[in-house]
Amino acid sequence: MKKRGFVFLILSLFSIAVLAGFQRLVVPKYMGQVVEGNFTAEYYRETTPHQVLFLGNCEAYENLSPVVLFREYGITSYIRGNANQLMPQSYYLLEDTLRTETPVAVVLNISSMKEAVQENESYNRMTMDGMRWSSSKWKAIEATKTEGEHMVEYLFPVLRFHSRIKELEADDFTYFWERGTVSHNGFYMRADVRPAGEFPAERRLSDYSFSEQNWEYLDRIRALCEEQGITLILMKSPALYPAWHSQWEEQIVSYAEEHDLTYLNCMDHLDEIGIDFSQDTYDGGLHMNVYGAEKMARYFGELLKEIPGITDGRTDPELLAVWEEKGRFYDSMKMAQETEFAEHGYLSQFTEAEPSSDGS
Amino acid sequence: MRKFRMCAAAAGLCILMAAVPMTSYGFSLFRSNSETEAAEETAYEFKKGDTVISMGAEAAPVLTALGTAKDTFEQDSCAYQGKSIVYLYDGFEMSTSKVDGKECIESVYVTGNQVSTPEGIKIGSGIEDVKKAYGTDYEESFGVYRYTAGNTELSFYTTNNVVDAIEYLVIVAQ
Amino acid sequence: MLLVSYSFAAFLAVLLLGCFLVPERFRWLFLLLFSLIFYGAGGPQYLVYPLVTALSTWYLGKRIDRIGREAKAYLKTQNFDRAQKKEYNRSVKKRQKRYLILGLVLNFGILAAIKYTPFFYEICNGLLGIFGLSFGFSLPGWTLPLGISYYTFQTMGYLVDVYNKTEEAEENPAKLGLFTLYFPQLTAGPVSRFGALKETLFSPEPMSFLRFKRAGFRILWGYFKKLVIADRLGPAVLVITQDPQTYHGIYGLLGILGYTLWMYADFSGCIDIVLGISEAIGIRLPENFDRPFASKSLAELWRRWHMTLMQWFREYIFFPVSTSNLAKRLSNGLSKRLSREVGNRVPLYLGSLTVWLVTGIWHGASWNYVSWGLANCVVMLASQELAGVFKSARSRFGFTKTKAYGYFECIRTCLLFAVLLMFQYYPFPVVFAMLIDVAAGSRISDLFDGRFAGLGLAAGDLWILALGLVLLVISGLRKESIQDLLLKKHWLIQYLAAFGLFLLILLFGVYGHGYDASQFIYNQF
Repeated sequence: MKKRGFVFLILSLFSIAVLAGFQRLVVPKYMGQVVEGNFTAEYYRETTPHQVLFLGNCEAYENLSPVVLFREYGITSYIRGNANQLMPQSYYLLEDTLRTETPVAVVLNISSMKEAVQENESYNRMTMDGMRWSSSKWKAIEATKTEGEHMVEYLFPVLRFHSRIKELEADDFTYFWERGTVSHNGFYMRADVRPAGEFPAERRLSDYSFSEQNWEYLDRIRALCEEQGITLILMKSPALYPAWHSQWEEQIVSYAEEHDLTYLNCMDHLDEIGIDFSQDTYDGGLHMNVYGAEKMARYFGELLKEIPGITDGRTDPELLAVWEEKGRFYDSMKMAQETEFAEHGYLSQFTEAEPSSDGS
Repeated sequence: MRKFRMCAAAAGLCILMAAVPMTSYGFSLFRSNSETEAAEETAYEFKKGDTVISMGAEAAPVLTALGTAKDTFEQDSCAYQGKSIVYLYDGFEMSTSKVDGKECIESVYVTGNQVSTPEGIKIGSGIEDVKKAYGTDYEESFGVYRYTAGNTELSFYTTNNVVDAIEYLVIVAQ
Repeated sequence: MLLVSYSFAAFLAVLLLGCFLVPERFRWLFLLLFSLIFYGAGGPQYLVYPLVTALSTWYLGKRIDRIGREAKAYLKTQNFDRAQKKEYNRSVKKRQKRYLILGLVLNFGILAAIKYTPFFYEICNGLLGIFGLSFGFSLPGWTLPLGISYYTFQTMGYLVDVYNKTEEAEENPAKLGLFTLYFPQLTAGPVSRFGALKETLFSPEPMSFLRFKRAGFRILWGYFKKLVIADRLGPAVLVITQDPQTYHGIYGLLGILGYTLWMYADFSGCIDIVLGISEAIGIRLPENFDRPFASKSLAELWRRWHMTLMQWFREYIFFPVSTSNLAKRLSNGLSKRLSREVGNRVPLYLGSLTVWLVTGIWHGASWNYVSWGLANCVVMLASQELAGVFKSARSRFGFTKTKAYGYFECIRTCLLFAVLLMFQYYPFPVVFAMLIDVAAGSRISDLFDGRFAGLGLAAGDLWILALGLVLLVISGLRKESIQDLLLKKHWLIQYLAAFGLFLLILLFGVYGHGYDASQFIYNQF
């Protein structure tokens, strides 16, 4: 009987190990062209606290440099943003963050107010797969899963990604155990430049109202910040496209006024920030590149340093050491990207290979 | 009497059998009629010269027929999860996106009064002309009159009852 | 609730746990509850149909049985002579027949109304079209209640058995409810007889680890066939069969073979899952497949394919029709007018034609299925007529007794079966055109002309299908089932086989995001 129990235990452990191994193998590593899928999980590697938490979609994680924010103001920060991150997801990521730390300020990018539903299941996976399991993760999935998504596929990602077994790449083996760091405290670095050009005409909408769910989660973020004594700032990043309609702007301005919140639409302060859309964007005016993001950090630093409770972390030797290490990583990636862009005119990691003339 | 009972039972059975499909209807066992009807309805199409532009159709033949666009605007979706392209022509724009690996027409947005819909409505037309051309089966909100046929939503944006924008949009099946 | 869904996995886990915990004498009630939940999961309104069938069958069965018992008791009190007894029994039978007919008309009527109204509408519209008329409206579509064909046939078989006194009427309506609604059978059968099922259904065997293991192997094997082979092959086969203009020649041949493999893997996979689940909870359902591709003739194949349904047709349609007064009158008439040989064939021909017509209609409410059924009938009757010729030809050549010739006969039968299946998915004239094209226009080089990419099968898929096919062939060559074979091996081999199979399903199964959880093909009946 004892022997049977022992054999059963061994076989169970073996089965679990094999299944876990296959799961690890087939789950995407996000170390190629698309790196955003690693952003959420990278947060958990942090060893020091953050005074400011940035939340939002790509307008949050592409448009401000936390390293420059620390270098020039000593403000420690983290961007918990993901591609097409929805308002409920921002709320639950905030909840998740508050389990381990309480920032002094939260800067919420309100561009995701216009997204009522998730447009692509892969955005949900990239945002939520990296979250540690908790009630926040469970609720985030329940609140935002698309039709056809199942909770069990989040519990056991092998059920979602099993078909990748036929499409495994070298990265799946290289990064089987550990993935590299792809962001800088959640910041997505792009040192290439593509000046802004012409855009299609701004299209009118029949309905400019934000969804009820998004209002609900905006309220919940505000209430949670209030409860925790966190200063909440609403912001809209500089972006020339897609259009941010004046009707949307009015609603956010009105909300901020009603709740006595600071709302900063960077499009109204381009000159102050110093944004030049011929130099500071990598995709023709939709998002900032590293140069634009650094300018944004400098501008925001002036604003953030006035918030009561914000201190200069450069005086703390432990923090300084950690952020200097981050700074070295930041500088080396920036230099590498600048060199490659200067040589080739593009960054190979983010460029889809063009088919060669022989069809390969 | 027995014969009468049997006849009554037989009649009852016939009525029951005939009622069963209707009972199914009452129990909502029918497939959604809107799907069947939508498939059968002719969708709204835009025309530029002889080129018919249907929403959801493959873009390649249409692009060839329309010739070189005045300008092209490409936008990668966040994290490269898709790419949408906007082709700018005289008086209108055509947007495409990748569906199952093929570039398909997503929408047409009429921007100038050089072009009109096949039913004769253009920028500057009055709302009464729109109703005459398309009927009264529309949804209206904030001055936008939306007609649906097949897989296409046709919207007329108006200010002071004058059309100032027209949009054809593909309806993505749920 | 689909058998290939996460919700079903959870449902099954709870069911199995419950079967372990619930006392054996209440297990049938527990199964009834879960069957109601399973059926109601698709919409509680759907329950009306099987409940009407179950209750009407129970009531009418009891009426028929009571008439018989009352008559028997009455006869004991009377001193009838033989002629009077015969007359009395005839009147009793007549009364019982009324209830039987009422039950058959009601339940087959519901089935016909729900399933065949659109077909009937199409026929009438077609007839009106000859005169330039039409109904002027189209019928809205509606969904069939799950398993309506299966439970209707099963319950009507029970009613006929009660009428024929081969079965006693069930007193407990709940038990008849379980017989009707027993959920594993609703998806794709098997079609069971009440007499064969009642003991195992209402007094299942005690839960046992050995039986659980055996069932587990079978369920895994079923899911492998469905998720790894059938669901991978199905979409590619549909591309071919729905576009014969593009996919002809060698693609037509691929379609013929692919459709057959798809049908077998899907259907037998489902049956394995159904029988495996039943076995796990102590219920023995009848087998539905007996290595059909090991058959040497089409008739033999139909004795090994969908065995329970063919048995049902044989007992409740073929024998009654072939021994009916009409058959006798026709037989006698033709014997007198033509010859005894011709007359003697009438029962067989009439019975076969009726069975195959009904088989075709049962499979689908369209002319495709009717022509498929009749095509099978024609081939088998022709084989019957030429049996003597074949026998004499075989006796002349020694090689016909070799193993190789046996394999040839199996392959020939499979091909014949596959070719006849074409009637299901091509219109009647296209079948012959396609066959000629396959025979005359198949070139291996056409597989590399770019059309193959349209089938949606990547290199990895082809390897997986090849692996699946190898495993299918190996399992088909052995008389012993996979599960029985594995149970004889060392426990480590058993574990590795089960785990390996589970891994193959987990990694190579066609399920989850990007795939539509497809119903089993036979679910639509």
